[in-house]
Amino acid sequence: MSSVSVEGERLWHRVVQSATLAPSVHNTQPWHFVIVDDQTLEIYADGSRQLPVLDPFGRQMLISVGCALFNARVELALQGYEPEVQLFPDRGQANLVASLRIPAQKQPWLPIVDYATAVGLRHTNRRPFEDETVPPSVVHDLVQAAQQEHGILVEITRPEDLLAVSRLSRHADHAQNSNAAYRSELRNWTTDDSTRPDGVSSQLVPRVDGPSRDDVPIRDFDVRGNAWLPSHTRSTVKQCLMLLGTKDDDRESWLHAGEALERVLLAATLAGYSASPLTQVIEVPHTRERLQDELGLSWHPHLLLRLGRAAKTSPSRRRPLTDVLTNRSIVQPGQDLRPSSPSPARSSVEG
Amino acid sequence: MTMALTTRSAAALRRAAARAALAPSVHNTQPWRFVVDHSELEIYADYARQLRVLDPTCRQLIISCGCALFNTRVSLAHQQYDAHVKILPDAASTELLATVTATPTTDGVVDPLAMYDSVVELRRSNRRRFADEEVPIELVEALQEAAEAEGATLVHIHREEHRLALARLTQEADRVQLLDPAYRAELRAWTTDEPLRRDGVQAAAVPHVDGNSTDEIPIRDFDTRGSGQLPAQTRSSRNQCLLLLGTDTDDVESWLAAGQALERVWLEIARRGYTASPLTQVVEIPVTRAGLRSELELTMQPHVLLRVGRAPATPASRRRRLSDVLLERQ
Repeated sequence: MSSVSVEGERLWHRVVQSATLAPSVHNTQPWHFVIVDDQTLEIYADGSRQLPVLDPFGRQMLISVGCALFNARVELALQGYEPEVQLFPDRGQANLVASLRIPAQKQPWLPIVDYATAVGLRHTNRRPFEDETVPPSVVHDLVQAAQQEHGILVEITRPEDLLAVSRLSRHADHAQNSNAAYRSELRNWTTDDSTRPDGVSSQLVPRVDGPSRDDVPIRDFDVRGNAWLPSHTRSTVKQCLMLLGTKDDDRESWLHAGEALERVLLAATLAGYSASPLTQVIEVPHTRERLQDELGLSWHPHLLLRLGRAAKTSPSRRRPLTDVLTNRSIVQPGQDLRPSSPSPARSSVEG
Repeated sequence: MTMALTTRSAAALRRAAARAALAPSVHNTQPWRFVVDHSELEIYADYARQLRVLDPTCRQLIISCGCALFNTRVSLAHQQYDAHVKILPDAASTELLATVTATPTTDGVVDPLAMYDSVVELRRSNRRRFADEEVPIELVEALQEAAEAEGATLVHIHREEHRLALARLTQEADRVQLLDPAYRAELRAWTTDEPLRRDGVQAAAVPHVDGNSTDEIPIRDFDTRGSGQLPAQTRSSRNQCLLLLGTDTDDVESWLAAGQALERVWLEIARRGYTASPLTQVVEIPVTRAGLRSELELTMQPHVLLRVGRAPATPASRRRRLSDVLLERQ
């Protein structure tokens, strides 16, 4: 069995630490990392953290893992490494999403190193956005950032497209809220327990206290009626709305979409902008199809983003490194490397 | 009236008000205030407790107060007083719903309402799973008589096409309500897991909602915190015993009558060892309420749908302190 040196372990810890700062759907953090040896890190999707109602195909789960993968690459770049990334390297293990292998040679400079300072500053921001428009140069940078990762990013500008996005988003919001299974899942993944390391905290979501004035609704996370952020979110069709997608709609594309998403979010952070993803319209199959139809898309949309300037928001919580990281060199043979049991927070709810 | 008699009837009215406070109310809002003024009990609506989204016309608020009024009549009968009720005695006040005066019974005849006094505390909104057993038709007839005695009508929904229409319309109402953020916010504000809170629906006392329920007639999703302790399966099917309470007209007076009829029916259910839970979503949404009237060919104005059956006991909902709802004028 190969062993991991102290330096190797230190490097991988930094990489995984950075990867876990990635955004994830409902802050499920559906990932697990395995240090194979000094050169190799494996990234797994943690299927026990998939959202079966909202995300039956695991698309958003893999997009979340893709975001973590991009952060891992940024941290490696900071250390001078450009890893060889293999997506789904083992057909026998569907949950093994990627393996990262670092080369012997360090590089003096890698372009994505620029994003390193933004990794810890990027937070999903659900506060009211300012009225100010996003300048074309910033939009252009973000579109470029997505393309670098095989993603497609377009700003929605035509009035009829904006209206279609608004109408279909509200339709999706209605469809989801009238589904008891959806509500139950959302309740299990929102929390006001300040010690819980996952899920969406009531401190980070807008209060829902009356009829919505939003053209494009923001998911109603305020399930306990005790949210901290202002109810007025200004999510109108006048804000900067961007649609992120990929050419195909398979597991590899979802990972690419995740990498593209995180790259876009980090680029926006560097430019001083905040973003929040709006995925309801994509989660309901019917509205996703309509969106493709009405906007005449020849590609598959995965995520709607609202972009703007907003007051600072706090980071969401993260699971401790010990929960998400396994060092294979100190694991007994035959031991399962990935957690398969549901998180304690959920099992207590079901009890 | 002599001083001693006044004091005695004031004591009887005070006891009656305490019983009134045990009445059922929408979302357990307890939207009432009572004033005992020598020989008179005044029942006020507390509009600060109105559910503005669910109940914009205050129909359910007034019905709740009507339930409270019925309890005062029961209590006075039990104490061998004759109750004299004036509905809406002050044309200038929308808050004062009724005044009740009490005089000791002189003829020695026991008012039949007295028999309900012992079940006032036992009556519950039971959201548990109901047993499969059928509700006897004699009980249904007794309940219909109870409603009629209060000037209301209780329709037994037994025809298959009516049951199907009711199931469909209730599902539609449930959908329409849940897609309204204002409705959800209001529901959250009135469900609670605070052990010290004395109003609202207890988070633990409702069916857990996990999305696997196959209810044909949905029970309102009160499980806003995901912490409901009752079984998710409620067996609320279209085959259960379903009774629809209504009145000929749709104004404050008929709502007060509907409230008294509702409580009378409910106490009769409890007295006979059965249990009930109200299902009002279908009448809260104007379009489904109108649909209900036309598809069930109703001439009356429907106010409350009741499911009736047998179920294990459920704990009582909380009550506000008497000192918060009862004022005694010296």
